[in-house]
Amino acid sequence: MDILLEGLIKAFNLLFSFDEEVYSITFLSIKLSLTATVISSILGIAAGLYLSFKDFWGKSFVISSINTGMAFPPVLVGLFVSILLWRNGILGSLGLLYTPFAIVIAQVIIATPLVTGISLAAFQNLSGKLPLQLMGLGASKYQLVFVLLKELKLPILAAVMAGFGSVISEVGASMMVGGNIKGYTRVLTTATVTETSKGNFDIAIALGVILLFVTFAINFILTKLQQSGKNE
Amino acid sequence: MKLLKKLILVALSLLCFAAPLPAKKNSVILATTTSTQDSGLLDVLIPIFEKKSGYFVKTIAVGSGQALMMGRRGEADVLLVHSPEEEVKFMKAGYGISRRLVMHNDFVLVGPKADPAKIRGTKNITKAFKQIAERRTIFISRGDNSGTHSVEMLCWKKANISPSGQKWYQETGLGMGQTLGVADEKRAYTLTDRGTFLALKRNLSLEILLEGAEALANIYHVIELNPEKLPMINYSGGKAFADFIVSKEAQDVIRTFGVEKFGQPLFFPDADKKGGTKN
Amino acid sequence: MSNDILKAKNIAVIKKGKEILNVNSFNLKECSFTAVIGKNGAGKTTLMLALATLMKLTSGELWFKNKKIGGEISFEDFRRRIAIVFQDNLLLNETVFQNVAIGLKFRRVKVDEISCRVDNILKLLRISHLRDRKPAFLSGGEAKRVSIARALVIEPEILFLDEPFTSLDTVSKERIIIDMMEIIKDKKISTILTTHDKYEALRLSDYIVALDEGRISQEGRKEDIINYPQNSFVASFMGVENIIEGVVIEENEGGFVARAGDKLFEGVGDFKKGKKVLLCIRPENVFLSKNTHAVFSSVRNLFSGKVSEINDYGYFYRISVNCGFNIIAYITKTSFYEMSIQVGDELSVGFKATSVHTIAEV
Repeated sequence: MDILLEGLIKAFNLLFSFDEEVYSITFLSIKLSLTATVISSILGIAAGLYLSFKDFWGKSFVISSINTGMAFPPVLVGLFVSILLWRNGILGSLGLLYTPFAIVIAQVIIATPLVTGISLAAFQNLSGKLPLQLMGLGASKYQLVFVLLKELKLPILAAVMAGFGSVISEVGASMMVGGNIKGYTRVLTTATVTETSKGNFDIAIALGVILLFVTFAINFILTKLQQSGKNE
Repeated sequence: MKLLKKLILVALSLLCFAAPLPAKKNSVILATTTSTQDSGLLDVLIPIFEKKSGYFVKTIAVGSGQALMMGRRGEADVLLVHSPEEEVKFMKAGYGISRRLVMHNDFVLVGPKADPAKIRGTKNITKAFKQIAERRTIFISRGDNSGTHSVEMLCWKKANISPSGQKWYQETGLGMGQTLGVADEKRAYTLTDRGTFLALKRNLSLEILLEGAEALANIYHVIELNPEKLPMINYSGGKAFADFIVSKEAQDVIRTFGVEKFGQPLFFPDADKKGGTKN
Repeated sequence: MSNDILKAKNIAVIKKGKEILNVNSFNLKECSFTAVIGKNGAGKTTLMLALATLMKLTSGELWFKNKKIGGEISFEDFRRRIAIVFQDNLLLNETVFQNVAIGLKFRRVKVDEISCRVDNILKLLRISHLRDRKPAFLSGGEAKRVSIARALVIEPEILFLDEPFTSLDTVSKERIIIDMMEIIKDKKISTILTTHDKYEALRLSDYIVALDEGRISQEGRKEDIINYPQNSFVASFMGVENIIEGVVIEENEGGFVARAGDKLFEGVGDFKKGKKVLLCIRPENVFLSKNTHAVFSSVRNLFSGKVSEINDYGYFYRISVNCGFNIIAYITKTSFYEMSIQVGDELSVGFKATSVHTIAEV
């Protein structure tokens, strides 16, 4: 138990001494995961909208794939993306392996099915006539999407938070496609693994604490956004 | 649909902004082992090399087996490994164009203070392993084709024992640090490199019970890959790193690394000695 | 004011290989009120959605004020000039004010003007006190008023109402209809309403269109439809309770004689011998008398039978008399008490030949 305490103390030390390495790892984690979350939110919400309103052959297959994708093991995503990005892989000539870019790609692949699945469920819960009603009152396509998203603020932000949560805490894929290179692709989760491996348990716990703190802070902001206007 | 296309454009530009790509020619992929990485030696050497050469080194730390496999596939530009038998096979197959001796340290057999298999005092590694098998005392293996694991398998082979599948023999598939943690928890025996053990000693209740045997030498080589067989590699970058690590400057760093922290160096530089092969 | 504000030409909707709407021509006259009637599944909502451009047409054209929709005037511009109210209220999770304002927001109306127009319409529909309430706290009738307010505040040139009152109780419905019609009449809004309530259709509309299986089976001025329904659906919808099957056996000047079972009927119209017909008689046009040998003046159809059922319909009585065929008559309460009719009484039943509206059987 004292090792946990040591870890907590170490966490505060690192944070308040503005340890350069810890700060850069933290900012990298936040930057990459937020980017991946924004991208997968755009893709996921758009996909959810499209799937809920359009009918096409093979639709139920697509939806089951998305639902499966929600629970897909992230480390497998990492493996598949690695295979694609290896020098011998299809996209090898792009030189993307072991870069932050690759981490964002893997994270987008992990988060998008999650955001899509939850958004889709939210949209399907709406009355099918609502878009017709709004169009019948003169809404343009943009205005329609805007109103629907506003109406579904609650579940959509839940979807975004789920997407963010799935990537900020992800370690397997980030390790595989990023390479955990110090100062370049080392993020909070992969750094925790390295420090544990080295036996620096106090630093590992400290990084874990920082990760928790970051995750909480961002989710707090998103929750405030989600719950605004509820109790009028 | 138009809106969707616009959004995808926004998403892509966001990605490029947040995670810009460095120039390809500049990067050198160094495949090495987790124990080398965890020792912290590379954290000192690599910045020196990068500053001198202008290259950007991507250190990928995996098990020796995986490092050599990456070498075979051209997924790395230079290798720093310590699995001599496998390395020789590797060179024979023509994947490496140069293999030079860099440094060495040694492996030690560690175990619980109580030492149920009565290893303490033995100098013969084969005898020690036999005793462990006979007494059926728990032995933790990394089981991951790493350099450490290869040496361990050699020892079992010499003792004519086939431990896999037996109840007292447990394979973790983990890195050295974590394997030591498991051995500590279970009060078991395990084979480890001295460097990692020294780094973690304060957290463990294990002790060194056997050291100094010849079979336990842990020898590091740097291997440049063969550009003819593997055209996709950054040959000049790999060569630059290999030249650096056997240079006097690097060797001096190796000689003194760890002394301040542990009172003894973790590695012994060997570049000046005869060793290695050239293809 | 007798221009067509909306014209549909050869519109058809085919879904999954099935033709669900096929209308050669449909015209909505400016400032008029048209009711579209039909059974469930006849295609009323489909027609509504098609005319409002909310459903894709498989073929056909729509014209708004002689401009082609999708040509001279875009779909979006057209939809900015109409408003639709559905059976479900479909309110957003915002205050009543924000819900009603939404159409104006879509049209980028200035904030002060929005405030003014919304408060005005809320007053007209008597829901000013609900301005800041959210839909979860509204009753069915209140929510319906909000839905209507939302449509009317736009001052649409065409108002589409798709069975808007179906889910309301009679009392709420009555009040809302009165308040709504006042605004519609005042602003002379061209309106289309779909309904399966004949009283709604009859009291509100100028024109009636009857739909059956996606096609128009009859259309015209309300009076024409009431008096001259052209098929059994329209007939029964319009309150023709007596529909008797028969065959024309004799033609005479201006009329015919038809046999139904073993009884003979006289009717007017040009129907050839041997033609199978439906004889429709409105219950209001049936005379009753306790005098079993009564002769009603100029009544050619005279029968006698026994009262089999008496129903109290509040303002009148509905009497079923079995004359070998069943005939229904409506009589006032006063007449009922005067005659003191009871089940089992023998009565004379009569109706004029001109009251027999005849439809050729399909």
